[in-house]
Amino acid sequence: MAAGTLTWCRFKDEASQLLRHSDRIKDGWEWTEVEEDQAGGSFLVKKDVIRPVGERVDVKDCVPLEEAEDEDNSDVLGVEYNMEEADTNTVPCELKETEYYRYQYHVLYSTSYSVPVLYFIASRPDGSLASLDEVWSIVPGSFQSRLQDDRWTFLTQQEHPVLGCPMFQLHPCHTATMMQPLMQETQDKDRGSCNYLVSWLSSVGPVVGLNLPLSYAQIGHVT
Amino acid sequence: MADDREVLRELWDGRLPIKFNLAADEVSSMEHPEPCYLLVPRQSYFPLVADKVQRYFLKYTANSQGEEMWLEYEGQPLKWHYPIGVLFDLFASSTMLPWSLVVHFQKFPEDELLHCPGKDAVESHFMSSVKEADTLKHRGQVINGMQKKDHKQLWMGLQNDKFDQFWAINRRLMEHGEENCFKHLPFRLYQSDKPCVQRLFRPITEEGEQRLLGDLVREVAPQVFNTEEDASRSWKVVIQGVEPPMETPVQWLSEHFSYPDNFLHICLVSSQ
Repeated sequence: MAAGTLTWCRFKDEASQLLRHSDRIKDGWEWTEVEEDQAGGSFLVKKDVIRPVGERVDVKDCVPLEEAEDEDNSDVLGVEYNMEEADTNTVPCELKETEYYRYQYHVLYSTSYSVPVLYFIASRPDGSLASLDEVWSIVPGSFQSRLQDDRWTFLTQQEHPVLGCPMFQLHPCHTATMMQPLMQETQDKDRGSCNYLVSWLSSVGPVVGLNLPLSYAQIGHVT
Repeated sequence: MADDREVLRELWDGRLPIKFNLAADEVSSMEHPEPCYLLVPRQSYFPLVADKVQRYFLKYTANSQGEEMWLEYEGQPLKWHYPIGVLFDLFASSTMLPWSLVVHFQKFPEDELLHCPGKDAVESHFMSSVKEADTLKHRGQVINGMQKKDHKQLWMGLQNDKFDQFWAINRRLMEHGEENCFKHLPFRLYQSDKPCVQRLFRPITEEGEQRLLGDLVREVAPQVFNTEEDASRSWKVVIQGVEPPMETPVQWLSEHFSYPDNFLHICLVSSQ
């Protein structure tokens, strides 16, 4: 496999590990099988994540797992996501009158890019879907400025590859580049097998309000 | 590599005559507007060609909120991110021309259609498809080796209907890789009542033989050949408005019959 990518088999195996841990801590992840036996035809789903309007995810609460374990290793993930820039000034967001958003996250496997891809939707209490602007409002400030130039390419509305319905997607084309140094680092340190899925999700999830509790770090070392 | 320029040119120049009507229940003016007629390129996308339509009909509606226009054919909302030719082949290939569509400004079907905030969104979607196609064909090496201005030229060539400008760059994306063919075939297969299908498919066999359209259809949509299962229903395989023979090598189809986004969009249409 090309650097920074993973196979469909590994995706499935690691998803199983993630699901077992999720069940243990009641984190709510489920496995949905739509096209059995097809690479990419099954995926992880987490529903009913409620986020009150106006709540900006504070970046300092979203430390990637590798950093949490290694105090002396501050740049494991490379340049793209610098978790140390905490945005402590939460600017009130100009949002429509509503009390909360209900998020749903899907983790799919892209057979084109051989990487996982994160999809999500946010609905308002009346069931209508939140707009891209509303969704951007929960992206931590430190990401917003960096991603502003790439706004149209990084977080976009796309068709869910299996279900066909409109969802927001974090574009997969940079994932392999982002994951490659991390995979290399893990190998170099001889830490046994690393759970790619958990490392990846802990890095990109916080951009869109999805946090993995730190206890997921334990499943990174199953050999 | 896409040697048959005549084929490329003819497909590029393909046009569809469309008749646009404002939804009857959205007319708020005293007079009912006349339909609007346009000849649109098959290779393009509706948001790139329908500005005129939007401006024309807006004044007959009560719309003052800047609601997004959306199009419908016989109750089917049309996905703007599909090339126009694909939408026609999939939903209306047996209809009389001009193709008659209904224009809406209200009740946007959020659970079915993506929003199109502007031409930037179309460009982003288009470039995203081009990149994905090149990832399948060449591991992304060709597209990533191009400069930003080359990407822009592809987009501008499409937007401004400039064949030469577009193909000056696109020919590089159609070059054979190692093994004298693409690594995988960028294709999507559509049926009207199902989400589209995309799979990994190699254009040659392990022994180095060319794989054919029939091989692809048999693998991805076996029901087309499985007439025992439903003898009353037979299928047409339509690409770019024509039914290529099943013996056509998929490598050739990918080089010549792809849409500008570099994908082969294959429509499975019931021939009843």
